[in-house]
Amino acid sequence: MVKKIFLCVIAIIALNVIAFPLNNYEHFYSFQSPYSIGIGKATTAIEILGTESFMANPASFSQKFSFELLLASVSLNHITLGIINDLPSLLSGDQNLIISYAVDLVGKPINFGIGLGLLSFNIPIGGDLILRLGINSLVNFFFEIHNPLSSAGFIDLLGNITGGGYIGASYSFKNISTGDTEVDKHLRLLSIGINLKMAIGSGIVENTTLDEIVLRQVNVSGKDILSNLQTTKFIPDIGILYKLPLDNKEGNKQRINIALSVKDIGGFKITVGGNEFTLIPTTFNLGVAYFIDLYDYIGSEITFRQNYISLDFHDLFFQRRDKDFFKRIHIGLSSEVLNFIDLFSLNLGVGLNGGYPTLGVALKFLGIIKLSGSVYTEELGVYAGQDPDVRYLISASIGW
Amino acid sequence: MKYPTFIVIAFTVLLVASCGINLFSPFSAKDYPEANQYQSGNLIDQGRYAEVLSNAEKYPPQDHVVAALGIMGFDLKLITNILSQTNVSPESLLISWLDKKDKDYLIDLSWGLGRLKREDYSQSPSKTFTLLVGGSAQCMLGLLLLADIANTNAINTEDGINDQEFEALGDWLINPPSNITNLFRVVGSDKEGNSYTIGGVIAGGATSALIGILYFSMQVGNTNINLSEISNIISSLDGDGNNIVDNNEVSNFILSLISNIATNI
Repeated sequence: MVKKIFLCVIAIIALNVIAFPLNNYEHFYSFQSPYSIGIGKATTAIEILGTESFMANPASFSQKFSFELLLASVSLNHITLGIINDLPSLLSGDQNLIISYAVDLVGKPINFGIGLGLLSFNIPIGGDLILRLGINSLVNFFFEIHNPLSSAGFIDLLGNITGGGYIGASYSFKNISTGDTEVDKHLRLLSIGINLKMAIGSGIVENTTLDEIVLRQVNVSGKDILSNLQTTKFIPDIGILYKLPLDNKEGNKQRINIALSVKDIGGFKITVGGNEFTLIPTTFNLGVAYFIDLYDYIGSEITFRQNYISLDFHDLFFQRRDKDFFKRIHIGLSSEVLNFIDLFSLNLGVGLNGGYPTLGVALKFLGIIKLSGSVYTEELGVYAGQDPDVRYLISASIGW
Repeated sequence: MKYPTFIVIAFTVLLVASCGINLFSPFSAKDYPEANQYQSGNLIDQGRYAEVLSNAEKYPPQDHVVAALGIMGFDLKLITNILSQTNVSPESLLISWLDKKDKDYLIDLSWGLGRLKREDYSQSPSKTFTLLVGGSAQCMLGLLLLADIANTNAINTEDGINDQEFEALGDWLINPPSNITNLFRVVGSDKEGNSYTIGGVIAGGATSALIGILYFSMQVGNTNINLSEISNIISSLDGDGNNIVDNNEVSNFILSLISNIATNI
């Protein structure tokens, strides 16, 4: 019976896949932060990164009170950086220069993203429950010109603006007692969570071909943008996390985390030209992480205390447009290189995001100012390694 | 782990991360229709036309033709240059960008056009425009080949063929008449085993271009072009209307074509 329900759920989710009007095969995410990206996005089973962990898996249970009052992030690639640099000459109004510049941009993706978080809280309640809530917004823009005679179409355009909030909770079964010792032994290592994300968003997703321009059939309209803004989208996540200690030492100096999260249930959809498209489908993400505290090996209380090696497989049931296996593999290595009584900390992370190396850095000053940055590559093509787009993401926040 | 080692590793990863190298790429499946279609569009955008042509059978026919045109110099830069010129006739524009070295890609172009004509292009202005440009290029390249064989001082193929040279080419073909047999020299064959003669390339290119003009004009609603005249020209290839195009009909069609081009430029 359970198997039948499970298969039905999978079938329903599989039907969610609708043809996408964009030449770009990038895997979009509803939330991205520099450090998580810097460790290859392999964060499903890592519970110590605060809001970043919660966004990857609502079951992540870290019993620390934390909050952020303001967070701002910017991401862009080197093409966009170049355009920003050349903007003064482009704004001079020289039409020949603009046309020549546009021709040189053929096949070069332009993208940027701006994120703003106004509030974010992690509030432990009792010893078993953490309440999480926050408000954030995101602007994404992607633009690419193609040779208009090729089968790729002429212009790819993705513009998306989303604002919303989330409220959720993580619950740990560590104090549970069922009366069965054997069941309790495993149940107490488990935590579950839910993240009720709500968003108002709108955008344009369009691959405009020469045919559409010539035949005057371009789909973009202001009506679509407005109608999307009037719809509140409800896209929850759920998750489960199992922490298996590998030693009997106090504080669990070594453990393995196994986790599963179901993200963006129902999918994040927008309407273009009267048709509804799924920008972000529902995905099942599986993660495994090995944690080790190197205190016994290094002997220092402030260095290398929180170290993770993690492996994720995102979109277990291949709901995204492409069906490449390797684009879905994420590997991360994260280390808290230095932590001086939580007033100053430095985290360094490296990873593989679908095969592309990533690097992330997170710095905390005076306990309240946090700066993060990452260098990473997104895959725009159908398979891993086909069409890389190198990007940079930085963020700054104030909080504890 | 020592700090310097960690920092060296971090910087190495930063360097590699900035280059966009993918460690899983050798293991990814690459040769399937969805991936091939993305790949051909991507290669064309980057100007890597030779890579498209080396495995053209894997890629969409439209991209095959666009790559052949691109390697001969017909790209977005050329299109914008052409569009910015106002005092040159369309016929001149369609052939002025070709020169002698482009003959090396004649088979690629001919094969691509053959594949494209087997698709449904009736609702696609981009395909019919590609037919128009590709067909005129194919026809012109065939004429350049013919002019090389003529090898007269009256024709210099280094920079294409101008109107006086078209007249000289036409005169050469009919004086003596045996020169017409050169139209049936085989110039090459493609991977599918299709052989191409000079006459086939010229006539085929011309009809592709005319079909392109016909459909493109209908699709954009251009009423300035005399569509029935174009239909008549296409039909004239089969002069006796028996649905079989013989060598005489090809020769007559080409002579008429050369004469028309010389008159209209």
